[in-house]
Amino acid sequence: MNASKKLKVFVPCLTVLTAAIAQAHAEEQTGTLATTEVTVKVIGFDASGGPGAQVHGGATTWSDDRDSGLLADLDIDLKLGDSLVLERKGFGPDNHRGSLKGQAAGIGFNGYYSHLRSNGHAVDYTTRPGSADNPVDPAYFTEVGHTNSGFLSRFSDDSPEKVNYHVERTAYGLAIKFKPELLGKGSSFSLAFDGYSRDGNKFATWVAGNGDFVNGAVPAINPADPNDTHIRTPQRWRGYEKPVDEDMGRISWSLSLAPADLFQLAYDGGYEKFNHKARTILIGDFAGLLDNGVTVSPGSVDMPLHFIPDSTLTTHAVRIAKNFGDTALAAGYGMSRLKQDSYLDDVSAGFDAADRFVGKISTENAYLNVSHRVSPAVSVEGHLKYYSRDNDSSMEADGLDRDIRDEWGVRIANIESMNYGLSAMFRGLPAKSTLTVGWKREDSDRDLKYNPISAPTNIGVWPSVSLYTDSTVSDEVYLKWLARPMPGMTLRVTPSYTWANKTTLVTLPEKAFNLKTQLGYAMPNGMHLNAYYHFKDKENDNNSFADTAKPTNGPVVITNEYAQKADDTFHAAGFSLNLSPSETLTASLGLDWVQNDFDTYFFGTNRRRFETPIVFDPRGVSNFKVDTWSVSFNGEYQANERAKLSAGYTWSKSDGNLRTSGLQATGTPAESQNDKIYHTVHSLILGVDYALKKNTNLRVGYAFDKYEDKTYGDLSGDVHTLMLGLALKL
Amino acid sequence: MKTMKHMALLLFAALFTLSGPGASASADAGAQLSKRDIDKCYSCHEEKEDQHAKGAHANTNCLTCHSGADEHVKVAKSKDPVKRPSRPDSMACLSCHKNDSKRMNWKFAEHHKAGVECRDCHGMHTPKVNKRFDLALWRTDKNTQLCANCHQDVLARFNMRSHHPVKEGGLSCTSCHDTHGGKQTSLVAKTAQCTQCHQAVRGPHMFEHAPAAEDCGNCHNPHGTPNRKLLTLAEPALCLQCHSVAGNRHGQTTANANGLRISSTALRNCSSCHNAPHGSGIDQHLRF
Repeated sequence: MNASKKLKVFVPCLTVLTAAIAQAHAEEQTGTLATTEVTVKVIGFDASGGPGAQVHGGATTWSDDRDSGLLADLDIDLKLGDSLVLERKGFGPDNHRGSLKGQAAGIGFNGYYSHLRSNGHAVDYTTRPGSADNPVDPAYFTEVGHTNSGFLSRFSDDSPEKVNYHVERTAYGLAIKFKPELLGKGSSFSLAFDGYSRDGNKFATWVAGNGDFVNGAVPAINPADPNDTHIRTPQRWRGYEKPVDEDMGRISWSLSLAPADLFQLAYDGGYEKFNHKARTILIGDFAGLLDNGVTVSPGSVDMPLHFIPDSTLTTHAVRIAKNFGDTALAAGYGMSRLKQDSYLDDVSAGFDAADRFVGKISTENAYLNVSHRVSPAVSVEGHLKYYSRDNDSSMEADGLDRDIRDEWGVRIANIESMNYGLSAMFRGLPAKSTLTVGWKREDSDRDLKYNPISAPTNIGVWPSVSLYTDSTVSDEVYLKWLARPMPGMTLRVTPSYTWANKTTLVTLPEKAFNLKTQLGYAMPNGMHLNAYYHFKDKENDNNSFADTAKPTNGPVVITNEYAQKADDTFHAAGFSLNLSPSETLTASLGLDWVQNDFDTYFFGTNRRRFETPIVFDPRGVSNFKVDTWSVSFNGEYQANERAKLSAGYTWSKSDGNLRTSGLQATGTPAESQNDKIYHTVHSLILGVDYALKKNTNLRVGYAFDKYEDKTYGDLSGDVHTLMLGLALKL
Repeated sequence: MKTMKHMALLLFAALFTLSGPGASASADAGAQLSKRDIDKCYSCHEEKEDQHAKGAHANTNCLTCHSGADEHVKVAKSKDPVKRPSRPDSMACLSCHKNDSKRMNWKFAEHHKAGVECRDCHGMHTPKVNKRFDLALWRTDKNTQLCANCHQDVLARFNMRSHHPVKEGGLSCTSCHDTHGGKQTSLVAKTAQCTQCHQAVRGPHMFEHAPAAEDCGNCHNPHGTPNRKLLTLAEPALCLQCHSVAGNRHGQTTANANGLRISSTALRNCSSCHNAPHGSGIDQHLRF
């Protein structure tokens, strides 16, 4: 029985036992209100088609059957006054959680666990290269030479064909808090442990380098060419089953003090250890899977794939807060150190411990906030925030067989940023409104390391071939208007405008207009309306490429510049209405719409960016435009004193295009299909809650989830779930 | 930049030296009602007595939170008590709940600035009743259901194809968000919020993907997207906004050609080949 299975059995037993003890304890108490509800559930399910409807927490039986089955579970809801609260929710072995919290004699405590299975990697497998909806292109193979990209003509799936890809994550934690009643006025101390374990497998892909595979019969294509690798090349693109076995444990502590009630002081610390326990797959593991006499190069046999290091993170933070009458201040400083704990030489005999790359990342954060109430109607605020990240990793890794240091790209040795701003809030304006006017600035600098080139080589990444720049300086002005024009109504309007002289990345805005509006109205008749509209228009043409040459032993020569332009427009709107037309009926409906519309240039180059002379070629413009609609209806009807009926339906559709004109060939799959994003989700829920006796309820529920995908048809699938529960109020 | 850093340190130091008497908001905590007086309240507010008995404030008397209640009690006999006791605002709540490091920066919290009071999320007498009735949230925790009352736009994103398992109950809004704090008082890096669960991608990597090292939000929307793996844009558009495509590795010839159209086999998912987008311990092309 593995840890996960043990937990599945242990936790329900423990919760039942705790419930029984707590109930017995409650009966001994006088004047303490105890409520306990235990719901015993039987769940049956039937799934068909692809994994799209079961990505998170999809049903499986205790014996791991994913298609259909019957299983039992338990819900517990126990409250013993304010001193003990125990909850457990179970939706089958793939999705259950529980929590326990309580307090006594100045001590508070809580614990929790949750378990969830994710089938996200089954989605990855279903859409793997070479699958029906994602075919490879044989044309790559027929080109003469095909040494550089011919591997794209074939994808070799080395995983067992029907691997049930999934990852199960179990999180758990315990915390104890010593309150002021115990430690004295204004003081508290808490100690917590949080952790998780992840087990399962995932689908991973990789591409072997040109020299990783050797040998093989060379029949037809160009046997006279000693560089002809056409037997080997189509075998380079591969997929495999990557085991997942990792855990994390974090101890954290927090001390809070209020010395002489002068100010509040808090110190938080943490020590976190992450362990990757699964075996790292090596290229040599694929030796027996190659065909036509191809073998793995002796120099690559020990090359690890997807290496994940163990690591340790330590954190410390100090915060203080103080009020001086109408003035409030808050300041804080925090630091973290992330250190690599396992190395390539731990997972492969091909590396030397003496030449380890040792990763170390340090961060520092600090903030200072001041607010002052000038008058009952006006208050002002200022804030300042500092952040730095230092990559203190060793720069040497001589143990690596490949001369990779000569091809390094952009490396961020240090980031240092300062955010600061001012705002003023005006109260008591018409329509019972408040208005906040503010400005803030982000100023960040980076120490970017490009590949140091030693003469006479002409290989290297130069700033001119990267869109990354070393600084961002942006300003934002904003308004926040909050009004309560009538009882129960709240209206928020928040426009802002951002402009930047420099942007590190094109994902940051050079210019952006942002508007958020929201209306909430709780009507006297119990109806509740919520509506919103958000708009954002963001664009950036600050960053550019340039044609670059680096003659042997000569200086870098930069010629034509090409500005990248990214234009991103976003709309989101929706409303929901909750109403109770009668005492026995509650209903709601909701509608949401989101649209993303993104344009950018596509650039091609004549060679890889660390090779020169490199020439850029604007190939076309992409357009990503997708609308997502979501509609939901819900109703609950108290049919009589015993029976309550409920029904809910949610439908969501994403529909749009991803156009890559100018760059993408018509080929496989068909362009019309490849450009399309079209999928829908249906979710229907029906329920009956029937009171058999005063303290016994029968609960029946039915859920139907369906996912349809017109781009990746193999993902489409559905699942029916029927639940029968007996709720006992003890 | 260095100057700003020094200024910040000086301000911190100044703050530590300021040691005037602390002032805090206070309700009528000093005015303690006797048990008999509380009974007076309950004689009219019978339903509150039931609620109190179930709530966390079961042993708290009414005047602790409701300023003006003493006067209200005096005139209550008139059957038309004009003066209602006030509902407690956040500062009144914090007069008791101040010794919690999680709430000490409420003054600068996003919720506070948006005009949200404690009572908007916390039931003073009993746990808060959700305004939003949505059976699709049947597996979520109570915190998430509460957040959904106001954040409908965010909730809609969890209906998208790729989303964090919040609707499924695997995570809660509060797993990531500090409801009592905000960006101004956060002491973690932009990536630290995500890597408190996703340690496997945090490295340290020999070959970092610089945008991933800066901010996960450069490529991912944590709530939900119509694209795979919470990506803000579908591949290849996401990647090609920053990267050019080398024709001699993604085209169909070995020559240093540029301008040839590229098959969607190469373009559809860049990550099918560059399968270590967060960073790699060994490959500069982030293939594995």
